[in-house]
Amino acid sequence: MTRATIVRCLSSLILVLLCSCVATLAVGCTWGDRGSAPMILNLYQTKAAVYKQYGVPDDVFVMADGSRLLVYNHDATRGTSYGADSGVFPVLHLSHLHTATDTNWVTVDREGRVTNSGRLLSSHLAHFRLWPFGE
Amino acid sequence: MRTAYLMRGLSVLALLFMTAGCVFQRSVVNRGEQDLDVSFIRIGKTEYKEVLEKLGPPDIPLKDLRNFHYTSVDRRQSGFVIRLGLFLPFIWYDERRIHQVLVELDDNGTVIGVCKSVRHVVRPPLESEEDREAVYTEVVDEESS
Repeated sequence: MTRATIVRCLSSLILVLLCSCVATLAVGCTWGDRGSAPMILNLYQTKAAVYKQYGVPDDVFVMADGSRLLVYNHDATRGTSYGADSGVFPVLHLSHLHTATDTNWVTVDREGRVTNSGRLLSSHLAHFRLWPFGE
Repeated sequence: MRTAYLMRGLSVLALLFMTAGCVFQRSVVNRGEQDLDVSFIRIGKTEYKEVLEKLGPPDIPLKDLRNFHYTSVDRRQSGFVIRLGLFLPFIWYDERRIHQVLVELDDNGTVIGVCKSVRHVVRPPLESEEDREAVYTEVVDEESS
């Protein structure tokens, strides 16, 4: 390796490092899950059986007639971020996180018998959208 | 000789600059509530005042005096940063209410049921949903007591 080649290699390396310091493109993704997993609730006949299978609910509402509404939630967060990162100049970073909640609910009467159940699913709407191109 | 040292030093510097970074975070809320002793509760006998005295105020704000909810939350987050001219921050997290105690009361403020559950948190992407252990629950109500 000649001296000129070494100097050329070193110069290129220093140039790349300097450019990286000034501005670096940034692209990232986020996957997040929070709360109880989605579930099938209509198999269970009593409040105790629901508790045994899925644990303590996230929320319990007591109705005027003494019946209870048990709510289990699951949040799914998906997102993308991108921008320019830098160690020298102010950073420009755009991110778009989208959180959607799946809700599973059960109603039980005063005696603890399951009277109704249902689910509202929306986690399939949580997408990796590279704003502003995705929406 | 000096050039070789210089080359080696610059290579190490470049590798350090471009190398991937990993971040592992864990945050636990209300760790003290993971070992709540509810053995003093007698179904149909214990009053809400005694529950408040022994366990303290519930974590989830009271909507009524019919449910006392004590909970401890665990969140595990992993992040990988790849920096090769392109900065790639990837983040995964999983958050669960790992320890929960629910004390149910009737119209008169007497305990009618206690439910205690333990959930498992995974660390994505190193652990998947299949690695998650099933929910462990203890239910004490009028029928079982």
